Amino acid sequence: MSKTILITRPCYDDPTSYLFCYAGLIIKEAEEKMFSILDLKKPRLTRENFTKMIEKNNPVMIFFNAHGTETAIYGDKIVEEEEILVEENVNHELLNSRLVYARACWSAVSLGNKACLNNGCFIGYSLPFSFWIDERWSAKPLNDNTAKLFLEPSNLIISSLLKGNTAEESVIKSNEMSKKNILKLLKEKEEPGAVASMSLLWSNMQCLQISGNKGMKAE
Amino acid sequence: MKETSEKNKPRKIDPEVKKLVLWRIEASIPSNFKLSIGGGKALTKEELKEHVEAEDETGMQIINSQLSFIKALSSGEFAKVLAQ
Amino acid sequence: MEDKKAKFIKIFANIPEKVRGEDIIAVVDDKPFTWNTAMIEIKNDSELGKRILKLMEKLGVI
Repeated sequence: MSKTILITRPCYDDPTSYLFCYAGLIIKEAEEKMFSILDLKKPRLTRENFTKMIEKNNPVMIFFNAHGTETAIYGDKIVEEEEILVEENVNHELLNSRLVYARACWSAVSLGNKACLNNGCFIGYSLPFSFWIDERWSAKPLNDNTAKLFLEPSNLIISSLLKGNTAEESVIKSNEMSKKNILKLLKEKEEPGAVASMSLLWSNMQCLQISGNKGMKAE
Repeated sequence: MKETSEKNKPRKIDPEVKKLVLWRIEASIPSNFKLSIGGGKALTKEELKEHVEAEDETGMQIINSQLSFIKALSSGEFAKVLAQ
Repeated sequence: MEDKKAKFIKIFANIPEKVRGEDIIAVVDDKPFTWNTAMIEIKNDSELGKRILKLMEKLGVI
């Protein structure tokens, strides 16, 4: 029986449209590796569907692409309001025992610690996960080489998990790629915004955290 | 605005520190860059400066992020991690 | 002041070259100073250098 990954992909502003596209790359990769994908996007990205999908399909891994807070992760914008998908002390048990990567701000501060119970694992950020967007490419996120500096290391976490590495190994690989990108920026002679990009790459590296079972794999 | 960490709650910032952050934004960020930094739309350079001027929650996030990087540079931690 | 100058020089040694030339670390009289230009003032013991060092102290750099 194939392993299942649930991916949330809202797309209602520039940041989420970038995450939407980059998560799309992961879907292709996961399918090639014979994972079953639950791709939750508009109009099916609702809390009700999210809950039903988890209860029915028991995914081994959940990959959030979203806005977040210390205690909650959001889904889609429904009637001008972002809907909370999972919230601490409300329904965080949905995440227990699972391998979770939340590409969402702040959620490692508190939600992550509650969500990783029962030998689960939560990979997330204790500060905002941030990235620069080059406005000239915002209609084609995958062609934006500035955003790529930040989103490729982030995607690498999931790619690495899909290859059978542990959560800890995957986070290390991601940080190594961020480091490599910083070193590349230090070498570039004429790279506008290089220091600004280095600063953000550094911040993302520092606030990337794992709670729970660091040796967990997507199996 | 979504509730976030205590340290990003608006508080009075030293005017010299604020001026430094505003200059850093002005000098280091190309005008075609926008920042995705949490909930809401991506922010232009001018919008970043407005938030810093206002010292609101987003402004404090930006200020703290800038100061953290300066600390990492000056403590040697940045160089140490890159050398590993 | 000599102590602060020595601390700054030590810190400067760990700043990557590209960052030294581009990263603004102080603003005095509405004039921005990068690590490089700040270093010049501090090394020369100028009044500007002294004011830059005071700001460095405020930032927690030294």
